[in-house]
Amino acid sequence: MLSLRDLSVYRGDLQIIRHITADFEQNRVHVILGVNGSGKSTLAGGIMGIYPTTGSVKLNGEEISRLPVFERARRGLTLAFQDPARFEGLRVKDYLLVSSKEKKLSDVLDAIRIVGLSESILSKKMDDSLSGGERKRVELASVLLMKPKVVILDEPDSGIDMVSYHRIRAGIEALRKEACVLLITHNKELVFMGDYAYLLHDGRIIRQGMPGEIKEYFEQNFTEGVNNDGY
Amino acid sequence: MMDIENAMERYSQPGRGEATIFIHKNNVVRTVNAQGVKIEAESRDNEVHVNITVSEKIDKVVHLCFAILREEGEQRIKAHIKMEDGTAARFLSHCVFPAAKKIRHDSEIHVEVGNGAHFNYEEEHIHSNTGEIVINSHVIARVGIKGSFELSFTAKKGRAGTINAITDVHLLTEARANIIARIAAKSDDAIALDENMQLAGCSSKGIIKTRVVLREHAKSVVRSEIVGEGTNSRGHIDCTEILMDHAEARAEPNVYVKNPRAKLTHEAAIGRIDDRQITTLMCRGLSEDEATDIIVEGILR
Repeated sequence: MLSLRDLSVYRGDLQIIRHITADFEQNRVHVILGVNGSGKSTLAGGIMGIYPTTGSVKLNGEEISRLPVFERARRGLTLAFQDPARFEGLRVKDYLLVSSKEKKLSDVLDAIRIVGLSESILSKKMDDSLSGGERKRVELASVLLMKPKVVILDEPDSGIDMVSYHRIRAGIEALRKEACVLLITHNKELVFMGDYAYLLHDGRIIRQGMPGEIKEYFEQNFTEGVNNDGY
Repeated sequence: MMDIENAMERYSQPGRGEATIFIHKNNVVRTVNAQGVKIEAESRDNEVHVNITVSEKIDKVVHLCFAILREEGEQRIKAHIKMEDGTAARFLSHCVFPAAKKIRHDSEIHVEVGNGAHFNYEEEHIHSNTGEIVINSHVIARVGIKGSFELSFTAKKGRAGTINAITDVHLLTEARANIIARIAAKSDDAIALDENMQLAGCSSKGIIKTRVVLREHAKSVVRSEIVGEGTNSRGHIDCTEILMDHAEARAEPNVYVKNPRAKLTHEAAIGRIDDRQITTLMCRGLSEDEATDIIVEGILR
């Protein structure tokens, strides 16, 4: 589904992600776990085409590493940001219709239902009138509407309450049915949402395996964002 | 063209109980009075003099159309709108210049908002794409005790051309005012806004909000000033100008406090569209141009 080969990602002159090779399969949630500063968001941006890269990114066998962001999105790859952008004047309904392939209101209603939002949210503006949890759920609804093949969720649980957390989990489960999900997080408790997990540190994947194994390794070697064993 | 056709159709239909005035160039084509709204208009000395008096609370919209449907022409409007005490009305004003190649529109509108009266005026400009159009607009308003004044100026269809718009609003005790301008300019359009609000009365409140989007070589100067004279008066200036290509913008928000118990604030931002907004929409499959259009539409909404 999504294949990375020797992928490096740059921010300015700095090489943040270093030579990552991995394969991500459909109908699976792949958790990429890492402490703050490990390069998680940069990896997401590199795959999406936001930051310059070297190496290969293939989507369903097609090389997409030279394509601009929107062309990758049109081929079925998308990204939900950790801190979704605010848009002055743009209503939630307009924002979601942008993502809806067939521009159907019924699809929009289905998507907001999955993430636990009520219809009244549609008339709200995409600015500070939305709470952090609402903004995250709207972002997830917009991703659902795209019917993507591969979706990258960058810290989907950060800064939200428990209600939003459970709704976002429901959204991720809905995505899993149709897509390949890359769930990027610093929260080790989210590892069990995944079928497979990777541990990212200093721009490299230093370990991969079953979620329990990765969580255990993380707990043994990283405490409160500080690694204990020299990484 | 649908917007123009819809706008024109509204003014050509008789009846419906809505007060209407339709002025083409300096000719009064049609006036319709309605319950609680009296409109008088006459052409003299190459200008049109309009007097509108609102004597009760009006549910239906009052329609004003100032048009030049030909390529060239001049229009001079002098209007006086009087909202008697305790009245309310919403005015929709269409300034329609769809074929403009050499058009000049001058307007001077005096508004008297009586005590406890509510005045809402939405002026929408529909221009051609040539940019050969000059708009000189001056609104002078006095808002009575506990009265309210809402003014919206929108020019986002066609080329803005040259716009010089001045607004002077004077508020008495517990009066409210809200002024908003939304303008999209491109090519060599030149926008000059001069917005002034005097919070003279105790507990008067006002907001001046400006949204200007400039592309190509368009330029804008936005001067906004609120003077806080009344005790417990509150005012805020909120100006955002978005620049693209080679456009230039200047914002001059001024707050002048004459009473230590008045409080005025301002914010002004000039810059390009936030990259994160564009990137977010590109992640949904929109090209950069498509994303820009959607963001701009939101800012000007």
